[in-house]
Amino acid sequence: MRAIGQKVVLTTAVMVLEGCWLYTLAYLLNVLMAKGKLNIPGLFPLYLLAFGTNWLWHWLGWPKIVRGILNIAGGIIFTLLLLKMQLFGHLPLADVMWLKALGEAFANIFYGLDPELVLLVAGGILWWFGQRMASLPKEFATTLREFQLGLIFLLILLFIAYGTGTQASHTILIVTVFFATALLSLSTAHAQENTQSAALYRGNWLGILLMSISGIVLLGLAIGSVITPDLLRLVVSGLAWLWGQIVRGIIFIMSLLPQPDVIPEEALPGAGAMPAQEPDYSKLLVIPEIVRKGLRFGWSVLMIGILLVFLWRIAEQVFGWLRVRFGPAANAEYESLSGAFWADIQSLCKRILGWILKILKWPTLLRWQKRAEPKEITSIRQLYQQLLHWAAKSGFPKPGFQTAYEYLDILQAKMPAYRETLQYVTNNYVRARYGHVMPSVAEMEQLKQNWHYLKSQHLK
Amino acid sequence: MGRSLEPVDITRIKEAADRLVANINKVIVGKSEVIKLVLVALFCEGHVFIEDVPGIGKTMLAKATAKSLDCSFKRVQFTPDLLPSDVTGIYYFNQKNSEFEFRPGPIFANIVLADEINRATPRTQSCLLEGMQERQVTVDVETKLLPRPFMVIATQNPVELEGTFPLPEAQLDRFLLRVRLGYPDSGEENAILTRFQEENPLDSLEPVIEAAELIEFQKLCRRIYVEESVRHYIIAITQGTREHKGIKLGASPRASLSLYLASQALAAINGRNYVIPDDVKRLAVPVLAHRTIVKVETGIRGHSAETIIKEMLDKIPVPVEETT
Repeated sequence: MRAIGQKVVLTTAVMVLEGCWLYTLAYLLNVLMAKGKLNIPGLFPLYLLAFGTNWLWHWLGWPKIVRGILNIAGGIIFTLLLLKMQLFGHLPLADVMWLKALGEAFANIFYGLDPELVLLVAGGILWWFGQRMASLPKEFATTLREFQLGLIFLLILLFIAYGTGTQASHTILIVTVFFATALLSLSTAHAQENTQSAALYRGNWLGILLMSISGIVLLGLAIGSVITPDLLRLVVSGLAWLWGQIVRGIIFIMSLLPQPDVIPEEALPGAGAMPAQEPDYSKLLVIPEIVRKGLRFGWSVLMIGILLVFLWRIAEQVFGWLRVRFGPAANAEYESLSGAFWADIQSLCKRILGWILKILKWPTLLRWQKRAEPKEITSIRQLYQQLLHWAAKSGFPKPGFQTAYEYLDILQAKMPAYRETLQYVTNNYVRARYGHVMPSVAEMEQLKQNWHYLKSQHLK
Repeated sequence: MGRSLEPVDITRIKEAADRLVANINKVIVGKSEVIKLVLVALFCEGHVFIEDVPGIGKTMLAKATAKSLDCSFKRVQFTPDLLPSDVTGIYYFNQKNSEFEFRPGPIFANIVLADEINRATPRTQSCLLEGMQERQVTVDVETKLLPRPFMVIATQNPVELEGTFPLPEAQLDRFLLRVRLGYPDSGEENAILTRFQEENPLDSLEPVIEAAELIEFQKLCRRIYVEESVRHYIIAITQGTREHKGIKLGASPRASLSLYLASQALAAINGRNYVIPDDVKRLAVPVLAHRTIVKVETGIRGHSAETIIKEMLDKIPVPVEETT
């Protein structure tokens, strides 16, 4: 029972962690692009719906491909419904006006994002994270990863809010909730795992939980009372002053360097003023607008990537320090996470590389498969599969661990009248399947005849 | 597909293997499957470890194999006082020309029979390691190449272990296969009595395959086609030994490679230029069992490496079409 409770707490906590930065993201998108037309809390049922449905599909044990298709379909349908409800609530569902508006928004994509598109983007993100949540293992590593990820996103979003001068409402509340939930989920996950320190909490789990929450809230209040906006302004102005001094220093050093002497060209006597000539730009290389856009996008991605890595590193260091500090305090052993950062980065890079390779290899694989498996071999494999199906229906299904010849022995023992036919089919199958030996036309014909004979004989 | 082995080559390998089996069968009654396993090792440059109770015909099998090949053969009777130099050879001072000369040990032969290998000390057992893996021996900082083909056939008696030294894992891992002969049935035993009544058929055994031919076959066997799914099946089996709860030490990557090469050789011996999962299954126990160490508690429960691997084979899915 306690385990279920811990799982529920962990799931909720991780959802709150994600919810904090997702809310901030949606808020910023709304303010900066959608002109505040969206109802942000109204978007979150999509996240919960994605989580709930995916959890149910997992529980029902549906195959991954089915879940994938349903996710795509569900994501699109529910996001569109949300769009309809939030932005075109006054129109009936059958009215195509709202769909037309969506089309116009797509057409204007190069001039900025309309509220419709902002909602679609936000909806897609929420749905994706919701379905991802359903498949995440509820353990220490997950909570740690979510904390790191959330911290990075939250910091980036707050920087953007500061940079764009957006009045991000509830910032302090969101940050407090984020850290409180992070500490709660991490302590719960740690207690859940069978570590030495967990033995201390065993039996007092709920009490420790409540104490942790109280402690965090008190700590948050204490920090809130000390770190006032005035103090923050003072720190920021101090930093600005420091930066100004550095810039002045650089200018001073530059002024000490010798400057090249510029001799003004004098016009020849009698000559009038030279007419100003328009430079001929046509000889220069003109970069097309689309390439420039692409380069700008690439540069932005690179910069964001560097920023992400940088922030990730900071988060990892902060967390490492926290673990070291809190470990001895609880008289508990803590396991070193040295190398965890690099392991994370490597794993991320490998995964991205894997995706890229998979995408790149896709057409190659298809071509290879076409080349490596000629039509005849595919036919033999299909024929053998039909044989298996037929034998299974006759009461002799093939277990997965049996080879074709092992299964042949069983079939021959059960159906001695068809020994040779079964042998012929199996031999051809094995040659084609493992040796990629192409059967001749006559062999193929013979094989089909054998199979039809076998099928018809048994049905009698 | 990368397969370029001609049917004529396969036919030659199969015929040679059949000749060898028939020749060895003149001495060893029945046991064609065990003989085939020895040939598998021979065709993929591996070494064989024969383990069984006394009187079964271990030494006889080794000697018959050696005599069936037109190769040099040396036998070393492993005893507790045997020294590494007795196996590898020694530099001795020749008083005639006042120089140190190398006298090669019995390891400088094509087929080396290490009889009762567990009776020698680990130090002497270890002197075979370099030769078995790298086909060379180092004596007094000088490395000497061993002749090709080179094969070690070691025998061991699993009972009467007092005063013996069990082979370390590193040594066992060098053997491609471990085979067991088992007792003959009554018909086979009757044939043995009849055949050995007047003379030992081993004395009249003639070689049926030449060394150069064997080397060529060894190269050809490497070109046997292994389909990708069969390769994955091999990996799944060896990885299974590493993940099994009852096994303390699973099979090494060398074991995977051995299973791969042995499967190629078995396919060739059976006249196929491609490997099928049956080859892999047939060889899994002889190749992997001696390389895995079962946990003490597993052993107490009566499970051995063989039984565990057999159980695994009954669980790991074979790459074959499935019923839809």
